[in-house]
Amino acid sequence: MIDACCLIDLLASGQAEAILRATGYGWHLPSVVQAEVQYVREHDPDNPGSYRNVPVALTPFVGSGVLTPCQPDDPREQDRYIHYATLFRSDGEAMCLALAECRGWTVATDDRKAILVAQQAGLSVISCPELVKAWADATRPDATSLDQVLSDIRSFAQFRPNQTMKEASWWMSRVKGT
Amino acid sequence: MAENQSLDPRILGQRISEARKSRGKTQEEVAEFLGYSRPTYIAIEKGERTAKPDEIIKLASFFGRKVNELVRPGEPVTDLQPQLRAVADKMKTGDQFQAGLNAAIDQLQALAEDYQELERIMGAPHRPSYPPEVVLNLKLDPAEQAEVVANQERNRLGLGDQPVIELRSTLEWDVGLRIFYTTDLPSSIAGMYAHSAELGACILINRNHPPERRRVSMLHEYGHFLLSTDRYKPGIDYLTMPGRKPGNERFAEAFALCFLMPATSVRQKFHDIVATTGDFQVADLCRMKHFYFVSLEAMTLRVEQLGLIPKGTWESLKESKFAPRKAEAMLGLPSHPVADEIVPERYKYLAVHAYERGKLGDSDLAHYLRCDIATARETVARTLTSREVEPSGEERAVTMNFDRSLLGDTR
Repeated sequence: MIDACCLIDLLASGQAEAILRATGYGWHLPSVVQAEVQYVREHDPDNPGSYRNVPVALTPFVGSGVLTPCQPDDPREQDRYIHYATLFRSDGEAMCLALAECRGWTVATDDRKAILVAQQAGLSVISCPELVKAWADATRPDATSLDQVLSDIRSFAQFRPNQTMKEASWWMSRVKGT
Repeated sequence: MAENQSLDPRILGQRISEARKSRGKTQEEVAEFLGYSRPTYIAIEKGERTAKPDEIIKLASFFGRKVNELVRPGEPVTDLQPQLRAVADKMKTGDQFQAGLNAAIDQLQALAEDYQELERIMGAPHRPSYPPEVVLNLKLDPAEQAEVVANQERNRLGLGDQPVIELRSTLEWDVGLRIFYTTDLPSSIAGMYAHSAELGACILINRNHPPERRRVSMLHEYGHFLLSTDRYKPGIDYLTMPGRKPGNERFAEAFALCFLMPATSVRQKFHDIVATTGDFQVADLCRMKHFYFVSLEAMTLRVEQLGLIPKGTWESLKESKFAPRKAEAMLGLPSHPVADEIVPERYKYLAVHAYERGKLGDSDLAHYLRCDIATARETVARTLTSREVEPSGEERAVTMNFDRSLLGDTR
């Protein structure tokens, strides 16, 4: 299960599909998350030093089987969705946590509050640094390519790992070295 | 399935009812959509029956709302939307215009509620410093009364007669007005004003207009707020009102110009220029327009009104197709800082602080700031970073901890 925050961070890397595949998990995309992930930033060729938003196409990810759409289907899932919707101002976070809870899935999120709420609910959580590290370990990219991925996530998604995230220190040590 | 314990049926019913009205649906239509009788549906709106999770999800989709908007805890703000919608309904306009107005009213309602929610989360109640209401004397010229009130208000706020460049911040921090921007308003509408018992004075300004015009619009709405007849009355204002304007409109219009361009200051500046150069030229008018951060039209009309240049000067400038922006660029006048974010500064600080404390997540923050997640994170970094200069002259970024107390132990 992946939320909008984490998906935006991975999309910013330009290697989202490879990273998701490298984890070995089957990834599910809640219907409302799909609607929340609309744009990703990239360098603006017309204005050096600035960014532009480009629309995200998730259909190829779904078509290739990397992401499988899902939504709350039974009354218990719908009940938990409503419960989590009272805690967040994003339906995507609410649906992710509800489905992860009811289906026993791991939730991939970089959202500070979602991580906290998921942990309190006893859910298994994974974040961007751990996913990127798994990809790096599995595919062994050269140092330049790996640093480019971290740099792109940092600049296009403005992501900075939280100290409590697994592999945050690995991430920070690599970023400091560049 | 047991009823969701985190839901208050009365509040849920109120939010469903408000969403239905906002979508222009009747109770009959919604009942039919759900496949229920009208009394069964009415029981949901009244809070006598809690909507089931699948019903809430269906209703959110039917009303074009997010699920969290219907189930968010806390009392809804009940008086803004209906009051403004009643004003909008009386305006004889086309469907597209009406749709734009309704979208803007919904946006104001949502922003005002979010502002209140942030204050609650952060334990930072709103403490406005509203001036007393002004009673308009019908035997006197409203414009002259506006001049007096504008000077009083400037004195009360300690502004002297200098230009107020950071006007939005001043009205927000020093008066306590809640000023939001929107791009949804039709282009002929300058802004709208409403007063809520819970929120106080709320103003929505058309962001599509140039900054100089937005400044006039903010003060125009503030002028209405000052009047005893208008403070608790919602209003939607056109850019220009056709026909003879009533006294309150003339007051609000004159108040805006007098506040932005105090007579003593404008006269002083004019006489200084004439004494120094022996003339007063279009370039001088452009410099004054830039100094007070107003439109060329507003500046010219003000100088005309004070009898410093002949009446009709603005008309002749307009006929000559004079381009003020081009003139400003030729004179090398720098741009003013422009605050054109949808949300006010205090609101932004509350949201960033709540995020830093872990009370909001990244997606929540993006919602509150009405932007995408990357922009929300960027806003946090910018808000928490101060650029300082080292003794060596080098610039350094200092990251601030908002929660660090600066009071000494001895207090």
